[in-house]
Amino acid sequence: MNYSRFFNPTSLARQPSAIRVMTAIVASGPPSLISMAGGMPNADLFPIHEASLTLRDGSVLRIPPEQMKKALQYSATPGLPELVQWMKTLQKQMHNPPTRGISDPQRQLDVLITTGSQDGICKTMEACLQEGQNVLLETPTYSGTLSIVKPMRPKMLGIKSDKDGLDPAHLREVLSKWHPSDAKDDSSSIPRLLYLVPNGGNPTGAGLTLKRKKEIYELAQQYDLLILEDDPYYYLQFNEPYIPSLLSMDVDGRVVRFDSVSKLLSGGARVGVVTGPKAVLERINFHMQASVLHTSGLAQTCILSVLESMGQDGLRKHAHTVADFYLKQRDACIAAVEKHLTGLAEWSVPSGGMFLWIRLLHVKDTFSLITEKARAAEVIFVPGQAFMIDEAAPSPYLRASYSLVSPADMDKGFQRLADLLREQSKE
Amino acid sequence: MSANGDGSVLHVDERLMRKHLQYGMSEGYPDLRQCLIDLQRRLHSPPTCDSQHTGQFDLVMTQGANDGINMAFNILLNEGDWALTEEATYPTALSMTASIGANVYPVAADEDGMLPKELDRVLSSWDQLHPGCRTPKIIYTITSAGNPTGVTWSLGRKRAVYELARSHDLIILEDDAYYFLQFNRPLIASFLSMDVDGRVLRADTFSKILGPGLRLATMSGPAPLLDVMRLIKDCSSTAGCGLAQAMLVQLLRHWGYDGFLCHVDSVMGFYKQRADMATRCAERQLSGIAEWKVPSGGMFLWLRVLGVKDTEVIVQKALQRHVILVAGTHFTPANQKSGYIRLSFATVTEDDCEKAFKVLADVIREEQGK
Repeated sequence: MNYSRFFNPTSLARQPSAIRVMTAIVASGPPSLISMAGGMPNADLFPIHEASLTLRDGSVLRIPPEQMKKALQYSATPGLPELVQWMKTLQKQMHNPPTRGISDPQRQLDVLITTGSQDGICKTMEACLQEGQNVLLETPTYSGTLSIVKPMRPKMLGIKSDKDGLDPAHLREVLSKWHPSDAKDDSSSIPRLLYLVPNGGNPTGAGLTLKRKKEIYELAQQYDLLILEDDPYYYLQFNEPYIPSLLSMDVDGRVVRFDSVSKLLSGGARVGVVTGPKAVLERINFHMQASVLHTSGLAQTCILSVLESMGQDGLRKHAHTVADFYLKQRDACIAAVEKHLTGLAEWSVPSGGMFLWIRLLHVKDTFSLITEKARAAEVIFVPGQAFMIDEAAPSPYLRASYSLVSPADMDKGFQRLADLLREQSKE
Repeated sequence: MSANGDGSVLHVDERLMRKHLQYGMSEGYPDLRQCLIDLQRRLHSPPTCDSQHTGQFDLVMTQGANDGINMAFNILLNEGDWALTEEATYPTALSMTASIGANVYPVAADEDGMLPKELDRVLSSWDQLHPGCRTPKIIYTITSAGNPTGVTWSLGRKRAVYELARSHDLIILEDDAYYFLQFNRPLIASFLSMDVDGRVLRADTFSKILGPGLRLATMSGPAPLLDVMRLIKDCSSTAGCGLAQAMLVQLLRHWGYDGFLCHVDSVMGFYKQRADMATRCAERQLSGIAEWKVPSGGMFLWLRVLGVKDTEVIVQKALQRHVILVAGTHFTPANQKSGYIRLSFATVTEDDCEKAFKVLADVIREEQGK
């Protein structure tokens, strides 16, 4: 794999921070080393001494003074070693990545803890994209990623998707404009990056089938694409066994995978995990060294504490509990739309996650209906254009989230929407 | 959690915890943010608080001062733009500007800060000295106990430079990471406190006084610039760690304004003792072979080695003898040769400090002898 072809000049020019290099020297040096180099403040002065966290089940986790000091001090950019290790073990259990432990220093699997997977995706896009360059994005796609990508002004090539996720046939068609050998030509406009959400798609709720994942991976191999596998709803799949990830089939080291604790443990903690080839993670690392430095030590320590108390098996059990809840919510949501929107809209049943993607049958563009009329009728959805590459184009879609709302309120909400639609059709 | 020293136990109750474990707004969780806005008002009385002002005072939480500074550079500078800074400054800031493809022009400074005459000369003759180059847009400076120089700007110097910023329409990026670590009281007023125009973007951080692992800091300044930072944060780190913010708001509520100032004073007192210790060690070991100014705050001693133009060799030799220091070259815009060395006295014991200075003295004498 030639990784440097994926990175923009800004990213390629990044060097490790001299200060962070020095920190590493100090950390790995003999005890006789006297360091007057780093700008580390004195941890004896930090006022927070220790903490305890009470879990819902009543158990109490302690963060003792020694651990708290480490949590409050500057720490390594890739993440606290214990959390990184825990995540490496989890990734091994769940995905058994083919590039784990290989000797190639560029392709070897590595893990980085970021401030939410959102920041991981942001730093990756900022390392890879260039103005005017082609990038392949599933469409519709997560609005948070569009807000990262759009200001960088690449040429966004939308790849169609349906209830089974991104459509490899359309990907093949779009890529057919180029020849695989174009990947060896630096001046070629061949796209280099493919971004997708394989499970519980945001906004579609779709899950990529294994067959499609294999086809997509083969195409990526043919055209030498880097695949960004954004998978925050992996553990919110409603069917088991979980569909194998793109990471699990990544023999080449071309998948950069984004996991998140947001849907399972806490969105506010801001802890995400990037798993992928060292060569890519290094670019993100250098960027972090010149910006956030590292993910909050306190967040990492608290999350690690919870994970250690659960254990790897406990986490999976917890994930089941969470997925079961969302499954019940999904079923209530489907019941509500079937009751109120049959004949007015169509939708596919989500295979995971928290969103229902609804297409209104008699409305060309949902924007003013959703943002003005529905809001006035006291029901809030997200208009489809928020998830489109071309936000000016009319969209008959809306996204409904069933994560927070009770079944009774879902019923009311869709009733209100149905009433609006019927009023509108009379006009 | 329990707070060191006074042994008190603070609680983040279920209600607060729920709020802070959920996604938050990019400017920060509201209870903490309001606390910090109040703090800025009390400390700096920003002249731009009036809602009619086009540069109305606003505040956004960031993942550390670095994060805020990085966003500020990215908002303000394009490839080919120029920023002004001191001759020796914070290396990470230099790598941020380099990433953007922007240039940094060093302006001479003394123990009170940047020299206004120099700054005026540079700006007034810019077109002749740098034909074809865009005029500088911003001044970046660490105004209290600067890194690496240990210099704290005097009030008069700040006023003079603010006037120059006005006449040349510059933004002042005030990196005040060591604000509370000034060794003298009262604290010298900030650029923010004199900012009638809304041209000061100020970075504050809790890293040195509460712990850098929290990743809690703020950017304050004109709303139009902070609004862009909100948008950047929307697609990157968003609200930052809710847990840390919950702990901080409870800590600040527990202390109150006076308790907070009491705490920062005790932190400062500790570093002041360390500074005195390091200065005494320097006097004992390095008199006649190096010179330095007594730090006015912070955690660094900035030494000039007499008769040596490039301290890299000295630092390498010291490393071989198990002493780690930082050569001055790292703090210059173009990694120029430097006769300076930066030493941190934050964590070293007096014994180790004495040992380290002895090693340094030996190495310096060897180099000077050549």
